[in-house]
Amino acid sequence: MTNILSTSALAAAVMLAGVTSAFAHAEFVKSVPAPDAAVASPTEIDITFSEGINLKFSGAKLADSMKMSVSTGPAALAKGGDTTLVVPVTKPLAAGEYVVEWHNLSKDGHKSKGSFKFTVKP
Amino acid sequence: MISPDSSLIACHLLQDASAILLWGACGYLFACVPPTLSSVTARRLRPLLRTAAAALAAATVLVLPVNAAFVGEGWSDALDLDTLQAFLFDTNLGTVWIAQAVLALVVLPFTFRKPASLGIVALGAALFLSCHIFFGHAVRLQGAGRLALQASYLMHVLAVGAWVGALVPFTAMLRHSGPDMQNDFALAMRRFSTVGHGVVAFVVVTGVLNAWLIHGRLWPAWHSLYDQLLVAKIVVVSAMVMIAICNRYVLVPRLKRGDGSLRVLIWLSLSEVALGSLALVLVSLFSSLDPA
Repeated sequence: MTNILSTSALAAAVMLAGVTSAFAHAEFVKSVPAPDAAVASPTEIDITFSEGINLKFSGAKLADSMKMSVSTGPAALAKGGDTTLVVPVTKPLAAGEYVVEWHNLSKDGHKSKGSFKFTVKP
Repeated sequence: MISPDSSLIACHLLQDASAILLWGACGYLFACVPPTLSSVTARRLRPLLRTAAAALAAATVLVLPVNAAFVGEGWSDALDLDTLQAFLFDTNLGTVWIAQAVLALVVLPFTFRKPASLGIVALGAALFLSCHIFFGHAVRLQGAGRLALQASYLMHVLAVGAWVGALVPFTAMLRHSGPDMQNDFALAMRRFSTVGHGVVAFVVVTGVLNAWLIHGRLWPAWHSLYDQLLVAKIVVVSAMVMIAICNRYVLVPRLKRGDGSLRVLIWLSLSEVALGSLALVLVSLFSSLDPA
């Protein structure tokens, strides 16, 4: 009986583990330029998330150190996957600090948002 | 004002509870219960099955504007045509919604036929639940891992549904068991037991696979609200498994003695259904949280 009980307890635990994360969020994994990096003016900003995202309800805004928004091209998904958001930077950026504010809708149905900074070297 | 997020959780809970009941109950009555007993039991459960099918359709229709409010800028976008259109045709969630809406609306009239078309209802509800693999955690991975996870998750969802859903007609048959259909009843119980062992084993195997593919671990860490709710659910489902074992190996062998075991068995089976519902509520609560 003890055997049956311990087996079933294990079974229950395992079963639960199986249905734990029915919905998770597409979290920030990495970006190019990387957070807090000092780089030459980039031609695009790539943000990779922990899971697939829906392009339609995902995007990123670029702003300079004066919080003035910098215009960017239409966001797209990187080829060969749905986890990386690519935002073209249409004009060369002047030296200084920039903030990227991103938001996404993951394929499993959750919204997430965040921001990071990078610096363009003179 | 209730937020779109909370409303979405409530709608999903109603959808899943209804679909699980329809799949498990109708599937069991269709596949495991001899025809006469099956139709008698289905007739007894008719109000419940119809309510579940109506709730499934209503919750599914509601999910569309709630989703639009959720992905858009709030309730003001719930009926905004541009947002609805973008949600429906430019997201994977919209595609899933279309499939689920079709299934929910197709299933509904079949529960109103006399007798209800149990096989079709079970199939429709199973397909409805299967849609989970296109927006649940199964889509977190990429490539071959995603396919493996989707397959495993599909089996998992259906096995869980079969277990909890089938308990409802099973309990109904216990309550009304009399001398007239003893053989049918005994056969239905034996099949419940045989299939039940298989279903729970299936749940375990696919559960291990899911957990391993997604977390790379089997046991929750203890520090977040997510984990606390998960632990609560582990306690609830462990109790369900204990009850199932007690029912099968302690109470069922004593039924012939006529010493009140039947009453206890009915009571415990109903508690199992109640615990299953509680587990589903817990899942829907922590499903909105990030497991990381």
